[in-house]
Parts: sequence; structure tokens; C-alpha cells
Amino acid sequence: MRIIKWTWILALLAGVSTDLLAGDRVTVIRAGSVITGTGETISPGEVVIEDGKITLIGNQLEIPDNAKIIEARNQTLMAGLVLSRTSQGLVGGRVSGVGCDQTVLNRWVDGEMDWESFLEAGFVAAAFVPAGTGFHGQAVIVHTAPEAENRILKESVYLPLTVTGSTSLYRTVSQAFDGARKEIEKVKKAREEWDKKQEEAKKAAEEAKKKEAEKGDKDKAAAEKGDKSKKDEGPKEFKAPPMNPALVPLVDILEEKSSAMPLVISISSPGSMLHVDAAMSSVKELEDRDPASIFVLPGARNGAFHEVVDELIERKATVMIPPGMSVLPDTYYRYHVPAALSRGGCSVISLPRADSASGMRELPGYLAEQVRYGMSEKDAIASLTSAPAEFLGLGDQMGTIEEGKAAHLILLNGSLLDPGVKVMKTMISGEVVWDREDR
Amino acid sequence: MLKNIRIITALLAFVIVFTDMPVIPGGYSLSESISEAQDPPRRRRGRRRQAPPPAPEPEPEKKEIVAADSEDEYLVIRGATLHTVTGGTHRNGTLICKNGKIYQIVAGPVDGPEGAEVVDATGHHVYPGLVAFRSSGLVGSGEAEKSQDPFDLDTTMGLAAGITATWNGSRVTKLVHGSLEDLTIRPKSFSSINYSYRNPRGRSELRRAMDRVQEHLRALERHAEEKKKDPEAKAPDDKWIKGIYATVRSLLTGQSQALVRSRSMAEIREYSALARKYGFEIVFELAEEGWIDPGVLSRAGASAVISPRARVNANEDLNRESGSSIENAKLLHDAGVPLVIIPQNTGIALWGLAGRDLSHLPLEAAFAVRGGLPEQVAIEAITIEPARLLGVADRVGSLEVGKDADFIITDGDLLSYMTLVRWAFVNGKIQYDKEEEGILDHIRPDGDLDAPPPDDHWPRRLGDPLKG
Repeated sequence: MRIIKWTWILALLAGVSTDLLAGDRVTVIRAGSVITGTGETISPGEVVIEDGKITLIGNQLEIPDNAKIIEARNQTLMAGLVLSRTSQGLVGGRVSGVGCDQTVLNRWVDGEMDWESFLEAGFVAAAFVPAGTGFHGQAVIVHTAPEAENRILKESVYLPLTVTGSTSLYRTVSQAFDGARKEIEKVKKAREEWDKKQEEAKKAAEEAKKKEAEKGDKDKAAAEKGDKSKKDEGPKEFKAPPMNPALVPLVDILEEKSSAMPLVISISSPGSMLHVDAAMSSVKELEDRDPASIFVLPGARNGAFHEVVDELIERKATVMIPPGMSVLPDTYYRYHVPAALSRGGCSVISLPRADSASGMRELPGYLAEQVRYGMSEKDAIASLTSAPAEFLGLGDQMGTIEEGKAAHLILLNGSLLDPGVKVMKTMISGEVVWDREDR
Repeated sequence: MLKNIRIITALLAFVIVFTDMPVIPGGYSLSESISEAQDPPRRRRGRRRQAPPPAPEPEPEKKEIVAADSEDEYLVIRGATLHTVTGGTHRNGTLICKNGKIYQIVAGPVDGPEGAEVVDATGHHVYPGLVAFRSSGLVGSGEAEKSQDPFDLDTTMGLAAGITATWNGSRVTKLVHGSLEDLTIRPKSFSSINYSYRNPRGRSELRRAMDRVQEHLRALERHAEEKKKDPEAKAPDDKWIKGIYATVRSLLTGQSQALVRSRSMAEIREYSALARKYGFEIVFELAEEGWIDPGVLSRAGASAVISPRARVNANEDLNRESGSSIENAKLLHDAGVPLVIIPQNTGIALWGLAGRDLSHLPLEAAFAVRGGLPEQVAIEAITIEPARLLGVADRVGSLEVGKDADFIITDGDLLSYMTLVRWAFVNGKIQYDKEEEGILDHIRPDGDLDAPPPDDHWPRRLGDPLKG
């Protein structure tokens, strides 16, 4: 009997305390150092989170008594990592050819996705694309929290074009843009026909009016009838015939709409870059456009990518590339393409070497190697945080620790580029969604 | 009858007195020379039988060169020995190219137009870019503009071997590094036929097809005649001409040549007889036993694509000559057979073929010289002859005014084992520079036997990875 009473009291107390915290919704992280990502490191530093947003960053801040405090004085706080391209855990077949309307939304079972592995590696957001070749869909950015209510952050982010062989590249590009052109023409034709009909209807109406005036009241009733029947014939506004959804994003590109998605081109050999240019320049509408400048390069495979480094730098390209050593063909010599690109002024976005849980876990270690070979530490960290966030159009929400941005943060047991560094806690919108201590 | 006999005797006397022909009844040399006299090869290049005329020591001449238009790109190669292949050799000549074409060949030192890119090649030799009859991996397949990997190391290796053009099986293509423009010279295809004695049915089918198509072609000729009189004459039906018939038609009308790989003399005889009977052009690849009876190839008007270093063991069971011979190239050439030389392996392999691949094309030709082939002919066999056979002799294969500026500059005689390509130019642009490319730049830099490798030997040039 007594025990029951005590539990009652305990339960009451517990309920009250959670209510109190929830009411304030203020969380404070006391970290050993805070790497803001804007070039500042505050150590020790504190970050105040309210309503899932960062409200204050500083040192020895005054903290309300009832705030929830995360003590991490021996840890480093930084912005959560952003994965700019992945197809992990998707179900369904690979897409090939032209399928720009394909997304991952019907290709995953949310409950069965291994979100933990993303969080363990520190990724708070990821851009998912369906696996495949050619124009194999569009990217969708999602939160990686296991139980997110609004998982989708942004749809229709970019159009991946994956090049496997140059012959199929030319085929795919001509197939895609010829198709898109036909769709445009189809709509144009329909509009012309509609315009024609409208004009005819107008003329008919005018003639009817004239007749009306000539004939006087006698036939008024008949004319009215005729008018009515004509009005019923056509719709009042032009309705475009439906386009092939697989081609709509390409139509946007051809019509140079502002909503057109950028093309992200994956190449597996340096020569493909020239082939992509040649294939794109064969599309006459794209002739006067800048050469393609967003590329995904393979990381650790043999390939003479040093041959195109200068060209990429000249284009000020955005390059998604796994940090890794490229081996010069037929030699044991290594050339560090990511470091060279970064030094040359390209926007480098790091990808895991393997699109898997272990690939994501090992990513910081390989990135540290690029720092050793000439990439600046700032660029290296940016290549996983602010650079992908900005490229994906989420620069105002995440990527750095700044006031007003969402509190997508990670706590590490050292700097991201230290050997053997581990993610200790991952937070999405101020909530700890993954904690190493819980495991 | 008596009159006839008299005429014949008179003729015979005339022949014996006025020609120096040795009359040995049944003698080997006589029968051969007579058979050759009676049946001269239909296509013979008399010029090829003589040694090349000694290069006339040219008078250094001064030519006025119009001041360069600002838009024209001039390239001047000075101080080198120009081996034009088809037009003699000029010591200390000057080669002037304009917009990717050969503009002037001057047999002496002259100043180029203002603003021209000048390459001082004193002590070096200029040859037309080598043409590899066949290759794999040097250029893309099919239409190279759409399939080539422009940064393929094999392309650079090919250029380092002096090759600037090759046939990829369907097109004659240039070797260009880092660009996808101006690669294809022209499409080219050969017809393949099977007339092997191991396949009697195929043989009879081929012969039947030949007969039928020949009859059809005659019918066409008759029809053309008829049409002059009767404009409404009906043309012979040609809907049945498909498959093997189409191949045969393109052969018999001279639109294409037959390309046959055959090693043994017996096979070469069979194919040559067929080519002579139906009158089509034939090219023999391999042809290791061609030396046994080169007159057969010669009479059939055949060309030969040979690898002088290829070996075929003699068959001891046969009561006649067999197997390969170092003299193969020489004997075929002596019989008037146009020769093309390629190595046995038509790729580029870096794993120890002992140079029997395309990275050592000139050495293959040099081996034929070892067997007696004149040096000039050996050089032709890797430049102008393959260009002729591939139908691109108007563009590449020799240094001639108006041809493409595809040439190589070597640090010695082309066929010497010491010689390396110093520069390779395609379309008037440097595609390979031994010192820049660094595949071979550590070997005898500047022709010096004992010089150490350069400090910035590739890939060290890419930078010290630790210094960044």
C-alpha cells in the first residue's frame, strides 16, 4: 500500500517536471568548443536553442534556471552533416533512360530505413535519388530523424544524369531533349488550334450580330439560340494537353524557366566531361548556355581525373567527390583530385566512398587525408556542411551554427578531422535523435 | 599454214636476237619470267621496283611568304631533315603549315611568316605521322567523336610511337589527346569472305553467289544498252541482292576490297585464284608464307598487310617450302606487291610483349629491312601505303602540300632502335611532346645517352603531394 502511494507521488512529480521543461522549450548546449562553420571557433562555448532554432551563440551566457542543459564540456559542437546524394536502402529497380519524374518517395518503406546509420555518421539531412543511369529521377531532401513528422524538406532539388558509356550518353540526351521538344510543340499546337477556334467563334458571333441587326427582331430568338450553342462548345480558358511527366523537368530546362532544376552529371571517366559538352551542344536550344558545371566524380577509382582538374577550376564547377586518392593510370602515383579542386577554387562537396553505412562512417577519416594533402580545414568541413546545404538550397536553414538557423547539430569527441573521431550526439531541430550513450 | 610457220620462226628469231632472254627449255627462271611477261600484274607500281632516287641536294631557295593574316595560324618547323616519303628528303628543310594543313615544303632554311609558331628542330628528322593499319584501344570504336576517351593513355602511347592515324575497324581516325574534334578522317570498311578449303560448302556458295552477281551485272550492262533504244526497258530485278550477294556485289563492282586473313600459301593461292577469276581487289593480312610464291599475290593484284617478326614454323610433313621467312617482305616487294607493315599485337601493352605491339611500329618495319627490304619501302609501308589501302592517302601518309599537318619529329632515323619521337603533331597542333608528357622523357633526354632524368619528370610535375 505504501509503495503504491510513493509511486503515485513520483509519477506526479515526473509529470510536473516534464511539463515545466516543455513549457520553456529552451535547451542549452555547453560544449568544449563550438565550430560555427562561419570561420569562428568558440571554446568553451554555449549554444541556446529555442523552438528548435538556434537563438544565441556565445561564451558564459546567462542561462535561465529551468532550461534543459546538455553538458558536453569535453566535446565539440558543429553543424550537422548534409549528404548531397545517396540511394541507400531504396527498394525497387534501377531507373534507366529518361525518367525525370522518378522520385524515391515510392521507393522506400520509412519504418525499415536505417536512419540510425545516417545519424551515427552525423548526417542530419540527405538528398535521395533513385539509383540508375541516364536521367534517372529527381532528388528529394529529407530529415534523417527516425520518427520525423515532416520528413521531406524539399522536393525537386536537382536532376541527376549518370553517364555510363559515351554512346548511351548521346542516345539518352537526344532521346530526352527531342522528347521534351515534342512536348513543347504539342502544347504549342494545341494552343494555336485553340486560338484559331476562339477567333472563329468570335467571327461567328460578330456575323451573327450583323445578321441580327440586318434581319431585325424577327430572327432574334433564333440567333440567340445559335450563340448559346456556340458558347457551350469550347472551354473558356486554354487547357494545355498533359505532358509526359518524365519529360516535364527537361521542358523546364529547354524553356529556361526559373524553376528548372540544375543537372548534376555523374561521370566515371574524365573524357566523359567532353562527351557531355558535345552531347549538350547538340541540343540547339542549349547552345548558348554555359557548359555544364555540376559534376559527380568517382573517388578512389583509377582514372586520369587530373586531366580535367584545370577545366573544372576554369568553370568554377561544383564537384561532388568522395575524398580519396586517385591513382594515375598505370602508375603507383597518387593525385589528390578533391584537394586540387578545392585549392583551385571549386566548390567541393564530399560524398562517402561507398554509399553505405560504413562508407558514411569512414568519410571524415578520408577527408582528413585530403587536408593533409592540401585542402584547407575550413573547406574540408564546409564540404560536408555549408557547401552541400547551400547547393541544395537549404543554406538558410542548416550548414552552419548561426542565429536563426535550425538546430541540426552534432556533438563529436574531438574535431571532425581528428583521427578516430566519433559522433556522440546528433540533434535535429534541437531534439537529440541519436545518442552514443544509449547504445 | 606454211606462212604461219614462217611468221612464227621469224618472230622467234627476233625475240632471241633482240632480247637477252636465256633460252633454257623447261628452265625455272624462264618459265617464271615468261609467265610474268604473259600475265603481268594488273596493278603494279613500277616506281616501287627501283631504289628511291637519291634526294637531290636542293638549292636553298628563298620564297616570299605573304605576311600572315591575323586569323591564320602558321606553324614553322626549321632545321630538320624533312622525309616527305613521296617527294624525296630535304636536309635542313623548312616545313610550313597553315591552319592545320601543310602549306609549303621548302628545301632550305627560310623565315616563316610573322607571328608563326616556330619549332626549332635542328638535328631532328621530320616524317609524316605513321599510319597503323589496324589498332585496338588507341582510338574509340565506330565514330570516335562519340566513343573516344580523350584522356586515354593508350592514345598518348600511340602518339609516342609516332602513330597519328589508324583504322578502328570502321573508320580511319586520328589520334588526338584531350579533344573530340576532327578525329574521323573517313569511314572505311572491307568485305570479309570465306573461301577456306576447310569449308567446301561455303566455297561453293560463294562461287555461286559470284556467278549470279556477275550475271546480274552483265544484265545491268545489257539493260543500259537497251535503254538507249527503248527508254521503257525493264531493269533486272535486284531485290534478291542481300547478305552474301550484297557483299559480292560491292566486291565485283569495285566498291570494296576483300580483306582476308590467311597464313598459308595454299590458302593465298585459293583466294588469289578467286580474285583473278572474278576480278576483285584483295588484301591479305598475315601472309607469312607469301614469300614462297609472291607472284601469285602479284598477279592477283593483291596487297599484303604483314608482320615481319611473325613466326610460323615450317611443316616438316610437306614436300615443299612452308613457314615464315625473314625475307617475306623483301620477296613480296620484289614481286610488286604493295606492302603494309603492322605488328602482331595491334594494341598497346605495357606488360612485356617485347615490343611486338603498336608502341614499336617502326621496329617492325626495321625488321623487314633486316630481311632485305629497302629502307624507303619499309617507311612507306608504315606511312603512305596503309593510307592508300585505307583510302586516306589524300589526307595523310606523306608530307605534301595540301595534306593534313600530321607529322612526327624524331631524334634520329625513324627505323633506328634508338630513335624516339620528340614531338607528334596532328592537324598542326602538338599532340605529344616527349618532355612534357613524361612517359619517355627520362630516356635519353635531348638525345644525351648519360643525362639524368629531368627533375620534373611526370608525375612529379603534378606537385609534391605533401607540400600541396
